[in-house]
Amino acid sequence: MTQTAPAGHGQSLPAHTPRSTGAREISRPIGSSGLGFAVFAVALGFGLGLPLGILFFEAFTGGRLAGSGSAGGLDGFRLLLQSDYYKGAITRTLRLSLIATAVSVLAGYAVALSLRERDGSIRSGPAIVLLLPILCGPLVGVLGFIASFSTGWPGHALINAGREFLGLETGRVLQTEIAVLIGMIHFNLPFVVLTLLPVVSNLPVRMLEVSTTLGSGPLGTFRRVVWPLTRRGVTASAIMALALSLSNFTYPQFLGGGRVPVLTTVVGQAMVSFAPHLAAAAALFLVGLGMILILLYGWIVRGD
Amino acid sequence: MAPGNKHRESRDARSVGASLLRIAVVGSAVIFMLWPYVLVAYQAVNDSVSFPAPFRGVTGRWFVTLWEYNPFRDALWTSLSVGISAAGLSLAVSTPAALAVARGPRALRSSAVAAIMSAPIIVPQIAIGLAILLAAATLGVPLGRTALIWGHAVLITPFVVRSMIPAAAQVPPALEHVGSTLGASRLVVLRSITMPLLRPGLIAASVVAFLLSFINLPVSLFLVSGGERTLPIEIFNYMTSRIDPLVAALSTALMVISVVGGLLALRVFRIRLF
Amino acid sequence: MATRMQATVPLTRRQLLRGMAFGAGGLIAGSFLTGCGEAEQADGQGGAPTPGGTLTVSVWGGVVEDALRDRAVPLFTERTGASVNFDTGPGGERLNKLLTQDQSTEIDVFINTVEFGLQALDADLIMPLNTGAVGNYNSVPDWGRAGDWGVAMGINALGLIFTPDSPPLSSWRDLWTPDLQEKVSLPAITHSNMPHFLVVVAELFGGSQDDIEPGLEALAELQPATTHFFWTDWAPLVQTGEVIAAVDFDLYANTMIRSDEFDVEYRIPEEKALPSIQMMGVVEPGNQELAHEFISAVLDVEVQQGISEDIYQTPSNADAVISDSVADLVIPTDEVPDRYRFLDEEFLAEQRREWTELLNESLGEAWQ
Repeated sequence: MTQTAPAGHGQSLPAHTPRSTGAREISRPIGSSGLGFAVFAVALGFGLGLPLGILFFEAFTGGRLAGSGSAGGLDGFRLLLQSDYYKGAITRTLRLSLIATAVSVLAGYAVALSLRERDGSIRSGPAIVLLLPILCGPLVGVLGFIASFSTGWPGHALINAGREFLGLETGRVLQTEIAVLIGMIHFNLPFVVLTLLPVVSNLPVRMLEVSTTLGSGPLGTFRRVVWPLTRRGVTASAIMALALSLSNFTYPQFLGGGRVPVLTTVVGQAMVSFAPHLAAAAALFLVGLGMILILLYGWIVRGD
Repeated sequence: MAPGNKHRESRDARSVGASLLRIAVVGSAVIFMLWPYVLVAYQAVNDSVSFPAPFRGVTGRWFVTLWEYNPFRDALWTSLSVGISAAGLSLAVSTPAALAVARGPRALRSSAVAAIMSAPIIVPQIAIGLAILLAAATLGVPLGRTALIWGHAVLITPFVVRSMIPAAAQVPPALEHVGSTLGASRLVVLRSITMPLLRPGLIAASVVAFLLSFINLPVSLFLVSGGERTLPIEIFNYMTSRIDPLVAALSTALMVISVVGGLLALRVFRIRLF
Repeated sequence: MATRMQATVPLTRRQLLRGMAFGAGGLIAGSFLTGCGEAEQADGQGGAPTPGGTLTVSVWGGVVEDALRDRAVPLFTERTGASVNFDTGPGGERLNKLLTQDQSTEIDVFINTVEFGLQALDADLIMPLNTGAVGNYNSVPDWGRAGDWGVAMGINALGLIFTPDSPPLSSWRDLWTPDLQEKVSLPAITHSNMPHFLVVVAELFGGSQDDIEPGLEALAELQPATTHFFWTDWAPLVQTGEVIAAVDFDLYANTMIRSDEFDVEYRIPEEKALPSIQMMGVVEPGNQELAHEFISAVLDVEVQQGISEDIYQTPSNADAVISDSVADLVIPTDEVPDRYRFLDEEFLAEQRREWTELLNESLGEAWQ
């Protein structure tokens, strides 16, 4: 420790030597360099980008997958965009995915909020009962839905009652769009709830209390406190639900049975009929579609 | 006094209404979610070979058969180990990425980056499976567990990172700053401040990761080997060649074990979920 | 914030548990990854005889796999000391897998339809059989052999299946009966035998395999209750009355009949049924010696009889006697050419892609 001499006229102040307090500076928070994302991108690039690159290369140049009667190049895209069957599949994919996303996010949000206790904790019992059955996987869900949608069983009756109410034609439920839609919602819901539970649980208790004390009703509290704080979480879950819906294969395949073609089943069908160029084209188309939708969503919501 | 009372009364009425609404919402969600599995459970004990079938009597014989059926047991073991490994791998890569997106340059929070990060999720899983099969064949990576972990990790990572981003965004950097001011190194801050605060998100992400891997069929279809198959593949094999309810018995058993196990774990360890 | 800090105390236990779980998982994964490498090395490459070792057979999962495991594997293991792993799945997926893996495939024996086998042959993945090394090869009739590369495990067929609620069916043409519409289950467009079915329908309505237009039009007039890729897509619906007739394999019809819970009948149409041969081929980059041994085991007389009992299959070994227990359900080997209509598999393999498109166009709208 150095003592500084009292300053005299005309003399500049000696520099202050800082004492060591053991404090260290983290100039920036952990993660703010953005390096983590770079690592992520590289990992995904090798893990998925490389294999996909090989696949598309082989498919478009008629490589190993061609089998007999091969075709290649851009024929796949041409087919996708010219044939009525495939154009129908594209619009159907969009339609079903958007509806399934909207319904599952709305419902999942409501459920997550409902599971939240006043102090922020989650009612674990119902949460577990709600979430764990998906361990059995979509195949088992399919089994249950096939039963439910058969003639004489409750799902079939319920759907036809709904159709009658709306003035629509009643009849077969299996291998129709409504069956696939319900299946997709059923698949998405647990994942949406799971993503939103931490977000909802972290809502600051004080802020909610304050809002109520100041006279705001539940709707007002929701609009001014809950929604702004959970908006990013809801956006994340919406994008996830959209991705899950677009890429859903099991439900359209089994509940739709090839009569409700969507892009994923088109890929599957193309592969077993040895048209890899079509499969690759449909896969690329699906990815492009998804990315556009997500970009659009981001633009509409203007997330920060 | 009087206005206060009225305020309290209306608040009580509102909270009763709110409770009823909450029960209705959660209740209908539970019914909707469980309904197919209830039907499957019904088949597992219904004394009938086919499904769906009218009630014919209760029997436990399918559970006895299940106990002795080895392929399901082997496959369950494979699925568990693949799921845990893939989830671990995925979390290791996703956590830094989520922190980066939440705290890094503004560009990382644009919808363009969101779209890029979500793109892998949208690639049809059959295409992913086939692509990785191609790459594995080219690089000499063996099929079975290794290829499965690769495929599953790649599949679930985008989901994991997407569900970790909101959690990462909710960790205040200020707390880390406090820690460092008090003398903690970057590593200590990470371990004792950042990670515990990320915990709710980490739990949700781990569960999502493991589940997505455990139930996956399309990616696994091409990556299983003769000796190592996942549970969904075994279920698929069984379900598409036989109509007896063994699969129903399996899924009922799985569900009961996981729900009971989960509830017990919560009670015994007094863990708060999130 | 205070609440959150307090909450970290009981959660250390949870973190410990999770840490242990991940650690254990990592150890398990690690040990299996290394174990994996060893198992792969046990697969011999090329023709050198391997004492013991493992054979990988690509075949349909479920009942077919079980029949092989129960009947053929014991004999095989007895003779060679080797064990067998089955790589299972639908025919098309397994072909894709084989084509993709190419020379580095783990498969040694490829059991699939003739059409798919031909595709593997084209890719130089299946080799000509060393018929001297295949026991009972000379007991297999012509229909059970494919060129110089394949020999059949057995044969099943696609025919008409119906319940008492349906008018009795005796011809393919009966599928167009008005009473059947909205109640019949037809093969999906991607079904392995759809091209074959299309040819037969085309011929019924004045066309041929070179002119399938009449077939497409005729099929578009049908109104199926469901379309199926697997028999389990439609079988359960018989119980609810949703389906009263179907076009599917005798193997599954007989399974239903024997289960005593379904009242169905299987009929070979007067125009002959469509055969589905499980053709076995030796994969060129695989363990050829063991593969030949396995095929020999499958063709063994007793094994053939056992398989025939299990999956109601007509044996490909003409010396095999069909058990009394299934005699009423299984066509004898020598009757096969009379009852089954064999088509040009090579031609169909070439047409499949194009015909799938045509079927999508014609039936996509009509069958929705």
